[in-house]
Amino acid sequence: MVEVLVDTAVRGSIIALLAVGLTLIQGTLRFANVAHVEFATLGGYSAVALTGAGLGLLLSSALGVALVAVLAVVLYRLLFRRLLRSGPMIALIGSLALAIVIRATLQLLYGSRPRYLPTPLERGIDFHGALITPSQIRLVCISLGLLALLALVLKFTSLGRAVRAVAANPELADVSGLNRGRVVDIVWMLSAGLAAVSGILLSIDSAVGIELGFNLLLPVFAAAIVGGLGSIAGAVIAAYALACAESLVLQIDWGAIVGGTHHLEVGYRPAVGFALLVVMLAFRPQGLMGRAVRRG
Amino acid sequence: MVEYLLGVGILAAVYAINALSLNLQVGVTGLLNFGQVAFVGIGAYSVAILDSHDVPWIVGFLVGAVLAGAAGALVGRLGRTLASDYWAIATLALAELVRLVALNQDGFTGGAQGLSAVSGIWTGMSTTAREAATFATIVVVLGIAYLVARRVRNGQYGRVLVLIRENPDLAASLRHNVVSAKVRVMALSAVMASVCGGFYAMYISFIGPGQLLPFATFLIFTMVVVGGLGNTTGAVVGAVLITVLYDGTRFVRDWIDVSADQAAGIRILVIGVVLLGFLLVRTEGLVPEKVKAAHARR
Repeated sequence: MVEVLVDTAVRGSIIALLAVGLTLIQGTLRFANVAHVEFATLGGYSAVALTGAGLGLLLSSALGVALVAVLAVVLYRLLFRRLLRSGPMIALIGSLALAIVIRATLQLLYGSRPRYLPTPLERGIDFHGALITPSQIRLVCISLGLLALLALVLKFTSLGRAVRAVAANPELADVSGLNRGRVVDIVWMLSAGLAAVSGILLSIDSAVGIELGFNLLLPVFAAAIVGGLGSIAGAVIAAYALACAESLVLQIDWGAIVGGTHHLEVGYRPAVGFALLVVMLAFRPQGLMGRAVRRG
Repeated sequence: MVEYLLGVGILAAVYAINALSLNLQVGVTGLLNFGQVAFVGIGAYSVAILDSHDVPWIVGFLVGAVLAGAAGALVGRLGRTLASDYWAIATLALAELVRLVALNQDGFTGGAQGLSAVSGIWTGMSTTAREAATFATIVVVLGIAYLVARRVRNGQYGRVLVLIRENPDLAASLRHNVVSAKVRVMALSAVMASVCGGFYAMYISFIGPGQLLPFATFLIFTMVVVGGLGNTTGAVVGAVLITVLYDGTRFVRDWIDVSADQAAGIRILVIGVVLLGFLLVRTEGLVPEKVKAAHARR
């Protein structure tokens, strides 16, 4: 059972960092960015590129996050602003296209084999019967720290107030003299930066491949939707709940129900998020902590 | 050379049926179905699985159509409670679920290897004659699909669908049953896609989970957007152009020296750039949709 706990903490942290960014963009722009998870992949690869150029892991990671954050603002200004003018449907198709373009470019540059970051081999620590590596402990601590920091920034700073104002009512924020363009820029930098952190942490823990982001797409969207669109706390709680559900479903011996010993194939892991999503939509369409869902 | 051209023609026609189906959903009704490939897969696997048990192909097509139609109707109902962008993600999840089942239920679907040696069509003929006969058959099927799609688009029902796309609240207030209209268009499109899938499995005599990747749906989206969202003729035009482009880039390694992996990346990149370019520069596509005024003809 401790295994489930460790698994939940690690995977939940990765999903939470991404789901929070997705929900922030959704809150401020009313648009679901399918390409969001690709920022995680880009983060992983920029760390690979920078460590390959001879920089240390920590410096490469920090620079990688900064690079991805800047790239996100550039993409928003050049691409998404234009797509959004043609309506949310075109923007959604466009974000899918961008995701494909990013993945294809990375495949062209790095091939489809996974890349590894130069991290020292670590011995797992026995934690009440479950193995956990020091880098996994760091992963969870960094994620939780960043999520707490984000919550503090949104709650107590003037920037946070501005972000929340734009999310609550863009027109009202405009007429009260807020610089909406600047707020949106910062939201893009923040959420892409968090996504890049998540991608780098995941690459340190295992490896980075072109599918890194895409494999997280469904759980991340499930967490953001289940948490309630635009709700940061909801997204975080849903992310860990989802990771826990995934882990439990694979651990439980379903033999008690179908007879014999029967474990679900690991390949079905992504299906858990989907099932959770459908149950949630059927019984509580506004999400854990969300307001009523926009229909249309 | 003739065989190659016929092969591309067959592929283009198969994709065109798929594009007509997706255009009814995305272009006409505004339902962003990112899981189109699931319907194709249901059709293809139905034909392939039943064929491996020596059931005649027509039964496979019927079973596929019924299953896909039911799946389409269910997905359409899901659209009742879901904001449209999140519905799109749910359809993507559903398609991935279908792919996971195909990948993991080895005994049933052949697992990662897929099902090969599906009986072909017109098997008694020489190669060229067979390709020609197959081409003729699929063109007839495409013709029927085109007429159905055009009739739906231009009839009273099509006007309701366009109204749902443009202004769902108005459609509801005019006492149109929005949910029922969505469910019906999803079921119809799913049946079209399943026929296309069944035909595809028979033509290449193979179906595997590798063909159910989200990129397959993305390719069809590119066709519909390039052709012109909402335009029935545009869907066919887009399908032909993109098939020629995507199939033509198979030979990229003859021109430039890259690894197979990189060549695959280039092929995907070309399609992605074409789609992004059209969305940014010519959103209405090559054959723009003509929305008639309500009382233009009377």
